[in-house]
Amino acid sequence: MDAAIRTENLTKRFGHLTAVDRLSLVVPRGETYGLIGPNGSGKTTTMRLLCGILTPDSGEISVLGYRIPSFAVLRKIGYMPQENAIYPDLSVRENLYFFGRMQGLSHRKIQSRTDEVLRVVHLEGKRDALARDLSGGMQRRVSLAAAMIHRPELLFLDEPTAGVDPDLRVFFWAHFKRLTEEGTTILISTHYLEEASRCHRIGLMSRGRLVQEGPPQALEEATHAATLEEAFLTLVGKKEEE
Amino acid sequence: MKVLFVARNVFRRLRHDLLTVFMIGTIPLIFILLFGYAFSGSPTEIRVIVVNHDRGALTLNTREFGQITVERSLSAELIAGFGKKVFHIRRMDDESAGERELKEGRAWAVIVIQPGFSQGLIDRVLQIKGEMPYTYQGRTIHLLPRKEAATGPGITLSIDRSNVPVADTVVATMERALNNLLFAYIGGRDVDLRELLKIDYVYAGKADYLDYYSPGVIGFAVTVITSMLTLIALVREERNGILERLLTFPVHPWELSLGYTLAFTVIAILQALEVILIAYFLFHTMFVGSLLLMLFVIVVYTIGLQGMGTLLSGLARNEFQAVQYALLIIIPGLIITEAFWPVEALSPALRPIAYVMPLTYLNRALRAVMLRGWGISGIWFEIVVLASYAAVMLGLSILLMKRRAHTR
Repeated sequence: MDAAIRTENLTKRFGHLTAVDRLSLVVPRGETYGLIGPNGSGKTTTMRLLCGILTPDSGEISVLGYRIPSFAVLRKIGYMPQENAIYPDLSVRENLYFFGRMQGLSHRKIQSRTDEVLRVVHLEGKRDALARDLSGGMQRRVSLAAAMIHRPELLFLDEPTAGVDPDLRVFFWAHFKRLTEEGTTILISTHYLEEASRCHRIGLMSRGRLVQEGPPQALEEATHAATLEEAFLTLVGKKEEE
Repeated sequence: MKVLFVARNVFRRLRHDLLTVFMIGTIPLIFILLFGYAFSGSPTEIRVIVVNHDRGALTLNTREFGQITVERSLSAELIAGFGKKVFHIRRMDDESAGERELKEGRAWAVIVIQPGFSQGLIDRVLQIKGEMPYTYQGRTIHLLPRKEAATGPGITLSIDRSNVPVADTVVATMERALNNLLFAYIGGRDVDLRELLKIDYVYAGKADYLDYYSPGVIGFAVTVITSMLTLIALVREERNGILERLLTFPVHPWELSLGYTLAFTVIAILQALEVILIAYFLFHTMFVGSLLLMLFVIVVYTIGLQGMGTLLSGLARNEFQAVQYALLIIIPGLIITEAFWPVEALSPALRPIAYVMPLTYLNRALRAVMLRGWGISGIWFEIVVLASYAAVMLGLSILLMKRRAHTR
């Protein structure tokens, strides 16, 4: 199997806290992989390790065939952090222009890509609005647009739908589906279990460990749960007991 | 009363921001200590060169013995009268060597005591008094004016006026010492000191305090805005996650650092130009040097300052702390970097600090260019210091940019 992401015994500690604990993860290309788990279970730290923002204490990471840290891989990945991480005092277009330039795109390419990503996030009408004047959900969409401006092969989305209207959330997922069909790999973390069920594969994280992974239906079956939510509670509960 | 709860809430939050609590206690302390030590008096240990040509051989006309010759050096009495603190005196024999030291900025003044100073002074005193008792070989005799009395200024004082407070102190000290010497002989009677003392200014002869302050204002303004801007901008970008996001872009840390540096440097130049133009056209301050050279020095300084700001922004967790850190740069910058007070006016305890503050070298360079009209050859040392500071700070800030997110 050609993996987009592969980690082995990945460990990251912050002082006494082990945020990610011997994590071995394989994300196949062209799939949507959902990381789910309670707050503080290590989802965000995992993403930051995979993007090269954090350096692991031990373990190996390979992303799109590059050993992390790698400068070259940065052209091929897009990261949407939990914070909006856009310039509030720039317009939507100016934000995208800056991030496009930071990806090394040409002026012309950025313009056509801007039209494209703004269509995806439904912000065509807001291109000249200052980011700070937009609602929280709209800012979230600008942030997603910035992560996609260079058409990355692999997208890291940390809680992309937090604060986004339900109808738009549905639209987002339709877009993610289209992206994976075109070959993009998506690693997504979410709180919403009904979203996780749309992933090709999900990994349940608890206390920095990957407790269980597999296709959503398989997890439900393995725990004899009616819903993913129930499966999650069963699995995390089991882990806590150990 | 909700007022009390609001107030108490402020203190509750401070409990979890110990750095701010520390700053609240420390900044006033630094402020008052610096001011207290800075304003400990007028300039002292001013570097002055004395060239004494006076041999102190006096020809006196006495009622009792007619003409006699005695050894008595009034110039030595004058020099002793300067006191030990105000001047740091270096004696030289060669007048032109002394002038060279002055022109090259290694001394603030050259005092040349002309041959026959003692004779001229005593002749002048006797002309005013007509007669004066004098102790000679154990008995009191009487001096009378001589017919062939010496005339002309006895002292030439050359001063670099680019440092106005220091130059004024030199003149005041000189005049006081001369007056004291004259008072010992003629009491309160008036002597026009201009007959004895000729003052030349090698640089900035017409400079007043505004001319002296304006280079300091430029340096200080650039410091305030640049440090505030760098610190707050970076802390804000770190807090809203932009710096972290940029780490996932194919951007090198040095590209980020240099990009910010470039922008803040342009801002610093515009600011400096604003101050210079207003000072020049509205207040007609003295400006004899090269504007381009000034801007060049400001650029070099600003680069270092931004590096410093970047380093401090790595320590600050919020905008409030950022402002406090900026104050740590600004307050000493106001007091101990020659922005307004020359290093000679600081208490000796503070002077070493002035020499490790980059702003001191900027202020010196700006003054040398604006008031003395010096070129690169005159301020190469300041440029080397500022460039080294810039290189170190820029290097460290790039390193920090690299490690920043990794240590979060």
